[in-house]
Amino acid sequence: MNGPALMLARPIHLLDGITRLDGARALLEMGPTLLLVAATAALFAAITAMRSKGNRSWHWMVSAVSLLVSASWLGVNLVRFKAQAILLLDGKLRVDGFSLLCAGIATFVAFGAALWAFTAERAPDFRGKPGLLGSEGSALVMISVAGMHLTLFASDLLILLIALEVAALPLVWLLGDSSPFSKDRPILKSLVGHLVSSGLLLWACVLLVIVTGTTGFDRISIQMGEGWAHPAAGVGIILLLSALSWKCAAAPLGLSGPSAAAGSPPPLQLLLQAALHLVVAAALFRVFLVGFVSEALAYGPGGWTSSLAVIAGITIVAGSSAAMWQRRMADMTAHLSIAATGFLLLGLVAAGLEGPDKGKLAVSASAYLLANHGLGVLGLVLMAFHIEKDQTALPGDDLGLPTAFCGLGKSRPALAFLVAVFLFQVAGLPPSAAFFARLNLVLTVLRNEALLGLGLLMVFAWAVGAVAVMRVLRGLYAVSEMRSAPEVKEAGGEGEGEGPKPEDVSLLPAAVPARSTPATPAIKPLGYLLGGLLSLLVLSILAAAVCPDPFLRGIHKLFIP
Amino acid sequence: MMAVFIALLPVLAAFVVWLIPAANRDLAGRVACAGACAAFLCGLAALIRIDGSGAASVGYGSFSLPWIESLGIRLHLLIDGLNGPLLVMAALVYMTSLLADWQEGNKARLLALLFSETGTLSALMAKDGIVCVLAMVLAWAPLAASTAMSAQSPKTRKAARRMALHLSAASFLVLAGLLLLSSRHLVVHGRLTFGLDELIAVGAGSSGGALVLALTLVGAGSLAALFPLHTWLSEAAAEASGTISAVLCGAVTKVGLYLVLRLAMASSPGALASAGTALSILCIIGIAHSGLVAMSCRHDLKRLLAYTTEGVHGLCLLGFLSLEIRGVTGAFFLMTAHGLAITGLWIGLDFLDQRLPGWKPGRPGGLARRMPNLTGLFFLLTACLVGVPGLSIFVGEILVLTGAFDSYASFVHLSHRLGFSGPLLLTHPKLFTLLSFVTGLTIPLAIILAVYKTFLSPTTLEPERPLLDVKGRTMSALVLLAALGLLLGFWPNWTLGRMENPARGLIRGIASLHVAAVRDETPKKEAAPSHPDQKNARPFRKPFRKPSGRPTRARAASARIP
Repeated sequence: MNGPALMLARPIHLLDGITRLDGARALLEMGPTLLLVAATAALFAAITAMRSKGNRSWHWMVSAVSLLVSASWLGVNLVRFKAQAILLLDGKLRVDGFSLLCAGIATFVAFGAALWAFTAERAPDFRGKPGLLGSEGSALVMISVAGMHLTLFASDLLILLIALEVAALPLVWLLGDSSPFSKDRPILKSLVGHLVSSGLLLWACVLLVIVTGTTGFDRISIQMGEGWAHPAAGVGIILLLSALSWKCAAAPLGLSGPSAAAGSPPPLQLLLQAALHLVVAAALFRVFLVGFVSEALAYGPGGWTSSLAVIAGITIVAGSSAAMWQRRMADMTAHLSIAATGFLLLGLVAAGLEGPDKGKLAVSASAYLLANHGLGVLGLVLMAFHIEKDQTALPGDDLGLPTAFCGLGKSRPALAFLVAVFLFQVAGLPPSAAFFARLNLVLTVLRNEALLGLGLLMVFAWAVGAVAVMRVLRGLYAVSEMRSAPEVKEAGGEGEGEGPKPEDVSLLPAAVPARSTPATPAIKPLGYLLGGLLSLLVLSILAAAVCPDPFLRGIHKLFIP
Repeated sequence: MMAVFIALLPVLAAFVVWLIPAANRDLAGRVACAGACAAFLCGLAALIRIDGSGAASVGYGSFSLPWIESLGIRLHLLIDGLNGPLLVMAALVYMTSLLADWQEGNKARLLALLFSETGTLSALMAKDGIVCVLAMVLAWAPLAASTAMSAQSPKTRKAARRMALHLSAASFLVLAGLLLLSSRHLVVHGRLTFGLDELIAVGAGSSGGALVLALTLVGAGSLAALFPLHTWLSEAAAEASGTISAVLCGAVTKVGLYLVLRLAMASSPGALASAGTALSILCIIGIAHSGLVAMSCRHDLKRLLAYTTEGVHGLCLLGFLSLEIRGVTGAFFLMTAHGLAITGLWIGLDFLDQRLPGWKPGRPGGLARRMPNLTGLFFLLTACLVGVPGLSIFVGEILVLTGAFDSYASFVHLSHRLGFSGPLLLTHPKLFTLLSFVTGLTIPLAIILAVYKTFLSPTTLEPERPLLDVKGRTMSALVLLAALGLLLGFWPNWTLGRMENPARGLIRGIASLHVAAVRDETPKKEAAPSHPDQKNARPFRKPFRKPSGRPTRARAASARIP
């Protein structure tokens, strides 16, 4: 019960020093971060409106460059400002270490997505090309990324509401536009989910404005510092929590997200799984640690930490256990991402219980996990689709089936190794950087005795995620012979005892015929771009796994000067 | 620094093996053997340097370096009198396995064995919890991967999958227990650490003790294949190649058993006092179970050896639970001796598998005439394994049984708990120990029957069929292991002497922590015994309250332990 004892009725500002920047200075300092993406998005939107046909690959190239510059500028600002928060536009936007880090990761993920789309557009024999992302894909993606930035920097409920719509709706549009016709139902569900959650968010804003008379997080914090001023405030907080947890694919309402994204092009899956959900989770941190951090609001049976702890627990268990039963790599990654979102929410609970000072530890641990998971998903999805891209299509086989991975350990060991590294990273298994990130977060959660059970639940879910990953690893390294088994059975007409039983090949669909992987992978010059990015990711993951201390200390210094 | 060499030499050898072209198996095998041999020699040198007190020479057998300071994780390795013999045994197991697997082993298997060696040796030396868990994973994961990758049948793949599932769950359970201990240390001292000594000194507390004991005991017990968590071992050992089975039964499972004592029992002595009786009964059931199952599968020598491991590990746990000096040192000695003997037998079986694919006990039978060298060595190692007096395992078994025989007065406590009144014969501890001894006798019986059928029964083998006897590297590996079986049987004191003082310190530490737990106090730093007699004080026994109002064991222990 040391949580409430540490609580103070002042917000966790994540960074201590505050610098106010307005007008020209704000543009000068943060311009590239905020405006570059938006400007590129507007440019593409205009171009797309004028020319609906033609070669789109250069759109993606420019998008990728723009996103890379933006991500780099975010990184530079992260190093420059370290322990300072910057208020822009009269406090409507607030740039601090946490938001800069999250924005950097989201932008880097978007950069990976754009790079992949560019590579795929230039590949003449790529089978998914016709339905990739439509003619307006690059413009919508850039608009969405601009919305993500705005979401992360928002320090006002209304701006948050608008920014979330800007971030999510383009992706939902692309989801509906690019997916096969048979996927209409889940996409409709996804669209309805987004709209309903936005409605809940709007109602929450209205109720909170009625109670506090303001929409700024800081001012809400001051108004509600003493606790419940009005019953409507409680309803508002519950609606806010439900809406944001729904949008970040947390249980129970947001779990249908992966089924909607299944089969969509990889840039879209990346943006949905690795970028948007993490951005919304980060927004949850901002809203609750700044606006509703006081003891009366956070702690106790009716406090948001209790509700969020329940949501986090269910999300962790549901995500990890569902990942175990997925037959497609993309689905498994999506469910592991849901589990990671649950981990982040638990970090938020720990931060809320620890109070303004010690809570920064939990925020720092959550940010490190968020960065690790985002980069892991980026690498895994790019890797998976890079492998799929070289495969020839089979009847009844669609993108994402793990058959492409079976026996990869023997036919293409280097690629299999990269897949294994990213799998370990996504599931947080040793020896990977994400292992230490999760360990750090679990230890931070376990500092609070009230969260002992949930901390153990995290470890349990961790183990379940490991089992899910092990299935794929088995497919990578141990089932190469399985693929030729149906042929043997057909040719020889032997009894069932000779061939493998269906339950032994759970990663394989029962009727998938054998096919040969290409003897020499066709690495084209453009493939080097992706290869370079993936190598960079792997190197950073391995470096953070072997020497995690500098990385942990570095992230720690961003929050606690 | 010797500890670092021991841990890193196999990895260095693995790196060199990786660089050697796959076609050059001979050179890869030589390098792998050289790496394992160097690790063994370093371990032996460190063991020799351990003085009479059982502690490693400063700066020789210990190594400590900050690794992740923000999480309180250090690369801390230490060789002392308890883990030293185990370390040398494990290094020898890997060395002889690689020696025997030289020609047949492919490069992937060599790499798996070398990485697994680093994991096993590091886990035995680790004094930091996270390093220990990481090393534990490194010990089993390459073996599971190698088995799965070289599997020829769905049965083998299934066994590898089952092993991986069991042991990954075990690793996470141990990790969860460590996290709980670390969080308690954080609450008590305000500092994050994973140093095992510091975590154990704080203990799990009265409230979380049972949970920590359950997590760590189930985790480490799964790796040790203790009853009823043993099911993965019989399948994996029977389906994997002989060298991997040897390493699994001889070295990797010993890491689990070692962690049972050093982590699970030492960190939650209060909970152990409550659960000790039930665990002892579980051990005895396990020994009986392994004996009965061994009799039922005497036509499958591989499964039989795996069940033997389960039985012997049950006996070792019985020794640990006695918390008596003979019981604990005997258990460690038994682990060492069993590791050596069973490795030799697995190497012999692997040799038979290669010469006579599909052989069974009695089919073709009569191998003694065709393979006299193998027969002689196999019988000697079998004699070691079944505990023939004068050979290695006998010493360990007799120490464990006498220690347990003297110690288990607490079964009377169980009879009271269960509602029996009066002195009941059936709950008498000595009867239970005797029962374990008698049921355990079925294992040697089953092994002797199977070995007899294999080598001495009438043969169905065609006389003209050429059958080469064991020679060369395999022969030298078997001779080395058999000679050590004789040596440890006749001169056990060299090893036991190094174990005694650390074991005594460990028992005293657990007892003092238990007393603190009983008093519901936070344990203070253990004071040195003030009176010479206290150094030889009888070890701690589990508390129980007799109806007659005699002083409880806890009070007795508190009176003995300062």
